[in-house]
Amino acid sequence: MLELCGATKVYRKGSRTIRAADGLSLTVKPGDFLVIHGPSGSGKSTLLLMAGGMLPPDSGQVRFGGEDLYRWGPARRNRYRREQVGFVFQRFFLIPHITVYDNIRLRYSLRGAAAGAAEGIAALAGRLGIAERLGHYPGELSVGEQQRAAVARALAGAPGVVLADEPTGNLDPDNAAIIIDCLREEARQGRSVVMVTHNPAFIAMGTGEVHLVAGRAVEPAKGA
Amino acid sequence: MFLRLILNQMRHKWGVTLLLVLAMTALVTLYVYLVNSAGFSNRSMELIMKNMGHNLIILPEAADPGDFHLCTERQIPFPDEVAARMADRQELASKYYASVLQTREKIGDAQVVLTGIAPVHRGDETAEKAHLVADVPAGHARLGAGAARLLRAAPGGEVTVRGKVFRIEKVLPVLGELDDSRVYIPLGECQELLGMPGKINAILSFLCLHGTTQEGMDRYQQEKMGRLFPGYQAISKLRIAQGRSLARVTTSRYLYCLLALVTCITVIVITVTGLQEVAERRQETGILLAMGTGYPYIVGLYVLKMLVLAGVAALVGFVGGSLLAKALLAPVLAVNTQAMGVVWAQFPGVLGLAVLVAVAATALPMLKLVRTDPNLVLTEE
Repeated sequence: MLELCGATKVYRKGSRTIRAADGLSLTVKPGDFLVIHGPSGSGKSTLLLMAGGMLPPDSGQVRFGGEDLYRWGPARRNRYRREQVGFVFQRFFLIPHITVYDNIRLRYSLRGAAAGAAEGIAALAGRLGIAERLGHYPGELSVGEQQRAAVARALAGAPGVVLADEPTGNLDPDNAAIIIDCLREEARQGRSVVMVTHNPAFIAMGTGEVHLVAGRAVEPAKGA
Repeated sequence: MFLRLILNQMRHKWGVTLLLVLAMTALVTLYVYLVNSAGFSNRSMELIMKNMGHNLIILPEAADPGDFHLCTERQIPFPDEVAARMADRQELASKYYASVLQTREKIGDAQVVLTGIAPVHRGDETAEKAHLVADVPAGHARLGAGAARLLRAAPGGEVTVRGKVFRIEKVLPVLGELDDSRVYIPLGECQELLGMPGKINAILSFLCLHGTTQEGMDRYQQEKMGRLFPGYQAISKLRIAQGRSLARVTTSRYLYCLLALVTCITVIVITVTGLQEVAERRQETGILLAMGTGYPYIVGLYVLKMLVLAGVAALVGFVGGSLLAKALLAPVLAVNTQAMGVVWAQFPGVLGLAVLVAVAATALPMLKLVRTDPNLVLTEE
């Protein structure tokens, strides 16, 4: 179970202070599909990065399995990301000089599970409709295919938590639907899925939602 | 997967990879060329100096060097086994010993310097590394140019010394010094003729300069002589020793100045390329961190790539530099040394240099890499 307990994050740029997270508290249980939405600059990405062990809050806690991530050392936090977290970003961030297959396989490799990678990759590629594109380089794929490949990479090895930052932001409706269906299916299989989106149509698909404004949750999450 | 990432990255940015390899190859090639050409030039110069004859005279401490130069009756005889003992002491900077027993001698109307001579041979002598003094065959005499002129003698003729007939082996070229007036005969036969068995009055030798200055080597030799052979003095012929020393110093200075310049250029090329690469691969760095790798893994990707490229550059540059030195230098050496070619014993040092330059030049890009904030990269639009 992933929890944010009064997490606060303040950025300072010169004399300006931006409260990206202001005492945020929420809980994401296995099987939850939590949708985060709000205007630009409201702290949605900051929430995901804090939850993913990438960005320590200035105050408050981020807990996984009851333990504060940021009390762990860097090595254990790396292991948390490696074994428990799958990130999906709006801009995909596929590594351009290796094939789609290797982009996905890299995640298995980092987890030390490369031996069983081939079957897992084939299954994920089949689900996301990129089986024919595994041997291609990211630059040879369409935008929709790149995002599906990025989702496949995030789901490789069945992480406990999937954090998706506007995964459908650049996609046409068909590709967006494929991604959303896939993430919902992951939640149904027991993963904790947190997705940031601007698309009102997807908000209702979650088991819960958080509306962020200036780093604060202004509506209670339905499923939390 | 780690290696595949490195190899694919190299292939993906093949232009940059090629530039890095070329920069390091150029450095290694120049380094090997300079080291080899300096080494062979020095060796050639050593041989030239050696061919000029001995540059060290060893006499008893009590002897007046003037008596040796003027070949007077006051020269102090000492046992001829001293030269062999000196030759056994590798600590001495002097090498190639020859025992000498000399006296003024009247042969007919001619005044010459009768010189019994015997080189002490080394175990490692080769055609190139031959002794300065060739043995005078038994019953033969070798004449200085002046002595030959006075005696009206020629190779194949005969000369009689104290009633003993010697066949003339050869006549030496004009040197413009006392040696022109010498009649060389085998040392044992000279000792017998002079009634001085087992005695000599000088040892000629060659002071080798092992990479240091002539003054430094003089001090070293005096210190070793004083400790190992007290009672003997070594007098160096400065002009020959200094010529050798200055040749080495000149070569070394030009070598190191040029090398420093090229090293700086190579380091700058690698550093600038590395900084650019770190900037271009920010997203890759961000996503790798998000996938749970640490900075050591990512730094390892860069450093190992540079080490691979350094290894390739070292190998190509080493062979290229060696062949270049052979092609450009061998035809112009005044005295040929041992065969020039690829000296594989130098390769570990060359590889070490390439690795050192690569690692040093990668330091700044790696500093920039570990200061990359992945959160900024991953959230930028």
